[in-house]
Amino acid sequence: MREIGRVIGTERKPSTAYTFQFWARPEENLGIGSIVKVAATVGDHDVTVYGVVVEAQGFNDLESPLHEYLSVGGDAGAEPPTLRHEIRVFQAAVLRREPEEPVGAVPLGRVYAAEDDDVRIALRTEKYAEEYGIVCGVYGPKDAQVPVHLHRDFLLGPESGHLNMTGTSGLAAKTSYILFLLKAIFEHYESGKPGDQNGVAALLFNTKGGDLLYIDREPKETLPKEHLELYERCGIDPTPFKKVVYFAPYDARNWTTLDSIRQHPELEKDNPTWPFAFGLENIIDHFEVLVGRDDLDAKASGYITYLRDEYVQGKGRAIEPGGPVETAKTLGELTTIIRKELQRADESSGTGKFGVHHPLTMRKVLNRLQNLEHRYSGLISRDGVTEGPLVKPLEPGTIYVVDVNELDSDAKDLVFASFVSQLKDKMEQRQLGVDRLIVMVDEMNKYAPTGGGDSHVSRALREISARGRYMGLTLFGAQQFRSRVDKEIVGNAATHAFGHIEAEELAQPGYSYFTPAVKEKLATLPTGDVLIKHPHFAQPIFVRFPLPPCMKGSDGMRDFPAQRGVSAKEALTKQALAMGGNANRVADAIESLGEGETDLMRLLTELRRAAPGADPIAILGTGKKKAFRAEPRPTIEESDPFEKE
Amino acid sequence: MAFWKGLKESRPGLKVLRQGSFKEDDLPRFSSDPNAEDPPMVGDETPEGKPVPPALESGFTHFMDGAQKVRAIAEYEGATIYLAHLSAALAKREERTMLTPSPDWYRGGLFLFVPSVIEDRHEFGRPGTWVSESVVVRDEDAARGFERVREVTVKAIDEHRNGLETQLLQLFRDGALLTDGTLVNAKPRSGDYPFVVGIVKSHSHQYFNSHERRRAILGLRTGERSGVFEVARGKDRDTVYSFYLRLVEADDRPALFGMIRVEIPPERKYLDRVDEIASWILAERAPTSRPDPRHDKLLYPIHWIEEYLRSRQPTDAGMSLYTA
Repeated sequence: MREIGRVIGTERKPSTAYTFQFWARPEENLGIGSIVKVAATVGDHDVTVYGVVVEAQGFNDLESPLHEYLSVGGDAGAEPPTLRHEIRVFQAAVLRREPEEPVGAVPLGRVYAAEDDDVRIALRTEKYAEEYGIVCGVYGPKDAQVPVHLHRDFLLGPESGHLNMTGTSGLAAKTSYILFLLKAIFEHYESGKPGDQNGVAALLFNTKGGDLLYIDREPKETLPKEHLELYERCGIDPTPFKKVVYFAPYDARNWTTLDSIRQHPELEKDNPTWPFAFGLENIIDHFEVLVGRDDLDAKASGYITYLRDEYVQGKGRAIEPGGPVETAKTLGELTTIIRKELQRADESSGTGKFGVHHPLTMRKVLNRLQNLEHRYSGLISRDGVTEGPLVKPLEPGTIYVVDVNELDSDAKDLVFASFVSQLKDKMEQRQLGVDRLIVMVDEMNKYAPTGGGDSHVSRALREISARGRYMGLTLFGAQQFRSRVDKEIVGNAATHAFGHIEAEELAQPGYSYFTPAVKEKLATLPTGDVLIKHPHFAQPIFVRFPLPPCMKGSDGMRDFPAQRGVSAKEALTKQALAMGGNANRVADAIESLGEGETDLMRLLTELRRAAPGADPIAILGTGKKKAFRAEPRPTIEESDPFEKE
Repeated sequence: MAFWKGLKESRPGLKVLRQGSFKEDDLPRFSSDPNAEDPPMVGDETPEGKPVPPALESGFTHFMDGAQKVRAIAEYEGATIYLAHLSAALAKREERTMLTPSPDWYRGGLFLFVPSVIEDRHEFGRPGTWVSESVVVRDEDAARGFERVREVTVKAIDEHRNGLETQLLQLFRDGALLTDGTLVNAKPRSGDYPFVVGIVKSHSHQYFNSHERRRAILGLRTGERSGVFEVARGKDRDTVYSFYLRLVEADDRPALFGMIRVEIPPERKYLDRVDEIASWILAERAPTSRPDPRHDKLLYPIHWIEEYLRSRQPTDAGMSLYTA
């Protein structure tokens, strides 16, 4: 162990139970975030204190800058025969002490640079790293990196849970780190340790460019050596994610294709993008998101609930006595029912109402529903059937990526609200299908803003953050401005990660527990460094992490440019081939199909919804065939017209 | 202002002092007898000021100083007992960096000075805490009262600290040493003097009595030295060579502001290098020892050792603990 300094306690700045100062030579490799060990003998027993550097000062015996100026007569190039002695004084926050009691002031002992074992003891990871540890990065200089582990049960639940990540957009902080962490989590859960029987899955929303659309592919350029070494140090295989399922909404203008930039034959061949769409049952639950909360008064809300209970989720009802029982599976069917009810109300004498519902309310709801089909045309299922990742049980070790990059803001809200709400329901019904589902939500300050009212989405997120950890749902929230995120959601996250953060954001009161030096470091934090706060660490710790071992979004978009606007038959061909169909047989089957758009779309939908292993040729065989046209035959006259009679 | 300006025009030697810019110590205390004897000049040296050739570098390799922290800790039958932490250190400079003195080059400890007028003074020893020193007070001093006894005790403390410095001086052999204080007692027990130069900042003994000497020395400008003269000091009347050197312009401050007296061994080889030695001292003016109030005379390496010695002294609170 190498001594690097001594603890000092002055009258003005004494050592306390939780903080202490020490001096060290300028040449010592110490900085903000460095972990040190203090050893001292107090009375007849040894005391060891571990601390993390949170502030650094350097000074010499100069009292005024003017004195230095006068020393050299204003000549900056002058070299006096004696150099003033320079000293570094560091302030450290206590991470751990041994023995734990009594919690007294840090003794004036010798200070040592922490070695591998010291780091584990200081962070209390030595007891759980082996069995429950999830590596979150490495600590220390390049030649002595020590992996740092989070406790699985405190990151994913049930002890505590959720991760909140703050970082400036565009600096490869948030997404890169969460991908690294997911890689670490999947490696751990694949190990088959106790409690991991049903594994873990993750649901990610791709909101910007192609960030998350190529994470199953090798990076275009091999990772730099130092990053590969980081993976090795962390015990993680630097390979792309093995099981990734991509989903995207339909293209509103062309239902044969999806509204995603991830559409390229090579990608489709290896791992196709699947459609997602919401059935009427889904969207009617999120009507306030669809039409705007302000637009949905109590009467309209009551009418919507009535429609849902009677026609959508219920057994249906007859609009007029003795009439047929009406049910609604699609938005079109529901608007037809409302029109019928309005007509019935007009025809009725007396109140002019339909039941307790006023025609003006009914017309308002009808108007809004009619608009929805246009506004969210690619998202709302035409036949009322819900498609997407939550239709089937989630599979362990799988990342589900929902691409909403091409959608406008309102549509993104709908997707997000619907998924979060469905997840909450599944969570409560314990139907997630895996031990843990990680949901990554970016732009938390938009979906759950502080003081931003009581929206449906923020309510659902609050609910997940409060109770999700008991029910297998873990929220990985990310945002640029932590200060603008609902305090309850931030407070419920047990683990926090901080990447590069702008100075304006750091000036907010929420960061007041960081020293100025830590804030300064956060404001200039390079890509690949992150500050971690975790229940097992008494103080936040800076760690380094490698680049994600998968293709970058920008590379994917360049190498696999989206190919849109395909015909229905081309879409069928792609889908059938992606399902493993024989190319010649697929071509023959599609050649035999008629040109009817409705039937071709039906076949495409069936192919997309088919169970794994289904025979695409058999499904194509159910399509309507081309109309039979007889072969033109040559007409041979019985008599030769050129024959001379 | 106009009044003093008028006076100055007719009296070139008149200096109007800028208030707050000097210490009482800088005010002249020398003999007012213009016929008093001056110390003899050495060799061809003359009293007039001479510019010292400029030097960018200093050749000093070692520096030495002593320090003391004294507290009157007890009174007994009218006599004052002093507790003093006395220390001395010799530090080497390498590559422009002052190195912490090795244990061999540090002397220091806690001493209790008990005047001999206290009969049972031997009872004041406290092994492991301080060394009890008996201060010999002669009968004639004792007869002059306790004020005189205290003066004798304080002088004994100074001499004890000088003794620590002397111990270190006697050990020094290689290099060029600049020490704070006189070279009295620096004479080696055998052989030649090492390369040692003393700097005297206080002017309690002033070696310019005649009008001529006074004008020559007090009129020194920045970077000028006086001629070398011979000084006999100490109980053995050992002689050393000495000269005055002005480090900082006095301007509107007393004439001794920025003036030091330098002592060199009384040997020809050092006399031949007197300009070089003076230039080294001038080079040591940077960095400055400000904000020390003696910054006009205190060279930074000496200041550095003072700080080092101070760091090893007990704190005020620590000293008061010894009254328990």
